[in-house]
Amino acid sequence: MTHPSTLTLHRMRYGELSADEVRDIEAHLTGCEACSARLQSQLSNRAAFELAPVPDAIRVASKPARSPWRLAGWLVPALAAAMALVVISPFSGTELPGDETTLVETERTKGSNQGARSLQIWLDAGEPTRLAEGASVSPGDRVQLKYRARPGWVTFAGVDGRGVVEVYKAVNTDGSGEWRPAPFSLTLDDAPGEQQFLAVFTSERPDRQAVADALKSGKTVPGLKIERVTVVKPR
Amino acid sequence: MNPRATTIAAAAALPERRAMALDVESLYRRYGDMVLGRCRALLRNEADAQEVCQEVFLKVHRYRARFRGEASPSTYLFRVTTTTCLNHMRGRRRRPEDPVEEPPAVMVEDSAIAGHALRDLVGRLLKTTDERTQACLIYHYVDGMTHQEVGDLMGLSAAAVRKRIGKFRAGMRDTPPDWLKGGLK
Repeated sequence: MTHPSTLTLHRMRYGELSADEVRDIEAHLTGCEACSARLQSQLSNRAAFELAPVPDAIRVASKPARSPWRLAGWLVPALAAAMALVVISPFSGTELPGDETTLVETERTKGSNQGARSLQIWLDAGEPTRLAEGASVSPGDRVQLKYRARPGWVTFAGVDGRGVVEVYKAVNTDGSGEWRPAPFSLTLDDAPGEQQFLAVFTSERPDRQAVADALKSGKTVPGLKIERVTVVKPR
Repeated sequence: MNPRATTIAAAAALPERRAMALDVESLYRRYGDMVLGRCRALLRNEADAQEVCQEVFLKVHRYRARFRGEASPSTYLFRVTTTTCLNHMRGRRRRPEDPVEEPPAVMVEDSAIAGHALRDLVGRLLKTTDERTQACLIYHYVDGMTHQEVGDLMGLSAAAVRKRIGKFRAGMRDTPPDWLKGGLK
C-alpha cells in the first residue's frame, strides 16, 4: 500500500477504520520506518496531551447554559440597551472563501452601478457557509461580511429588528472588484426579527454620523450607494 | 503487526454519531491531541496553536447539530482545524517561532515539493495560490493524502484535485520561486 496519510493514522488510533484497513496499515508499518516514526510521534503527543489540563474555556463551555430569565434584575436594562451586534474582534483569521460566480440578492439605490458593487454575508460555522437573503440565524452566530467594490470607500452598518442603526466601520477599497472580507467579524445578539446588514459605497471618505443619519432617515441621499442583505432571527 | 496500533484502535472505538454528541470537554479529551498537534504543525507558534485549538472545539461544539455523520468525527475535526489554521495564518499578528519539533516527513510521489521543509512550505503556499488550492496542497504535500483522499475530504472529485495541484505545479515549473531549489521537472 502507499504511505498512510496523517489523518489515516489518526483515524486508526481513534478506532475509525475497518479491521481490514487496520491490518493493511499495520503490515505497512512493519516495513516502513518513516511511517512508524509518524505514528510514534502521534502516540507521544497523545501521552503528553493526556497529562495536560483541559483549558478553562472548554470546561466552561461544557457546562449547561443558564437561562437568561434567571439573570439578575439589574442586568436586564443593561442587556436591553445593548447594541444589536457586538464587534468581537478586528479581522484576524476570519477570512472566508470567495465565491466568484454568484451574488446575493441586494437592494440597490437608483443610479448604482449594477454588478460593480455587492455584499455577501457568511456564517462561520466550522466550515464557512454563505447565507442567502432571508436566511435564518441564531443569537451567538458569528458572521462575516464580504464585499467587492470599485475605488472608493465602503461603510458597513446594521439595522436590527428594533430599528436600531449601528455603523461598524469604513474601509478604503482597493478597487479591484474582487471579493474582500470586511475587516471584522460579528456575533449576533438576541434581538429578534430581521437583521439587515448594509454596505454604503461612496467615492470619498464618509462621515460616520452622516451615514448613520441617512440610514435612520430612510431617505435616498445623493452620492450614497447602498446594498443590503437581510437575515432573520427567531422571535 | 504493530501491537501499539491495535491496542489504541480497540480502546478508542466509539460510534461516530455518538462521539459528536459528546459534550465539548469529552470531545476535547478524545480528539484534542490530533487538533492541537495539527495546530502546532501548521502554525508553529505555541500560543497560536493553543488558541486555535480551543477555537476549533468551541466552534464545532456550537454547531454540533449540523454534523450529519457524513464524515468521521476525526475527519470533520481535521478539516475544520485545517481551515481554521489557514484562516488564522492569513490574519495573525504573531510570527512563527518554531517552538515545536518538525513533524516527521510524509512521502508522496511528487517529492520535489513535499521534500521541502514543512516550516517553509506552508507559509509559502499561502502566498502563491487561492484558498481552496492551498488546502489541496497542504493535504497532499504535508499530510500525504492521495488526490482521491483530498477530494473526499474537501467535497471535490479526484480529477478536480489533480487539476488544482497540476496547475500549481505548472506555475512552479514555469516560473520557479527562489525557495523551490532545483525547480520541478
